[in-house]
Amino acid sequence: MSEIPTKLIVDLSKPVGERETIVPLTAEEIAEAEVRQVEAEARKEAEALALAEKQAAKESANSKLAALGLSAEEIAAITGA
Amino acid sequence: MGLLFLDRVTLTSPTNLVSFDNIPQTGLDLVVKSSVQSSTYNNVVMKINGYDLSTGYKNKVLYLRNNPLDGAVADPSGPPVIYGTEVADANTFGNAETTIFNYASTYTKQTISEFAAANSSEGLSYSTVGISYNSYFPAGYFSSTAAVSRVDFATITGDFSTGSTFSLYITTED
Repeated sequence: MSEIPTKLIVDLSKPVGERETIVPLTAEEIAEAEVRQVEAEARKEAEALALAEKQAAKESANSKLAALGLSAEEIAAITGA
Repeated sequence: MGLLFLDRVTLTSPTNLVSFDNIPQTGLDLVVKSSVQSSTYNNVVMKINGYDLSTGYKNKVLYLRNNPLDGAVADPSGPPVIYGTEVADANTFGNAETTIFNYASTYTKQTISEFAAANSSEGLSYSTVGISYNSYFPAGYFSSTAAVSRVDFATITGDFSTGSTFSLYITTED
């Protein structure tokens, strides 16, 4: 985010050439942006955890299939990997 | 049916939020074509009539990527991510077309659909953990029957980069 976050307002009720105004974000909008950022960080952590769990499960499943005697090609064929 | 051009903005400096206000109510559907980039992997959120879509917005998203070739359907639980942008790169933008059907109607819930893609092999960055998707197809509805007169687009973190563009159209019967 730039030092002073800004927004571009395009007022379509005005004539072309007079529509665009750049103004600083309001305190409320800055607070909203900060909330979005915090939520994004939380979601990032949740996604990373879910991804790691999924990868671990995949590796575990592949190991068990290999232990049953399946080749890497056969495992890929049935798992679509 | 025709597509009537209303306006196009090209950002001349980093901007956190772009707002189209007092949208004419004379069209059938509202269409926004955007081509945006950000200084970091990022996502874009949309607000309707000033309201954040984090409540009252239900959607599903189909993701497709080429390497590895796969697809997935998700029911996003986070904020109303509309589409991903891309890492800052002179030649790389996240491109999307977003449609709000019957936007001037006061009888129907506002239905939104979109398709998005990036002009690089890295794809769009829906996930902030490094999963990129080449195509991204969200669709959903917003539980409001108010006619849409304003739409805002904002990044989750940081700003839209200079050179990002937003074009606004309405569809007409002609």
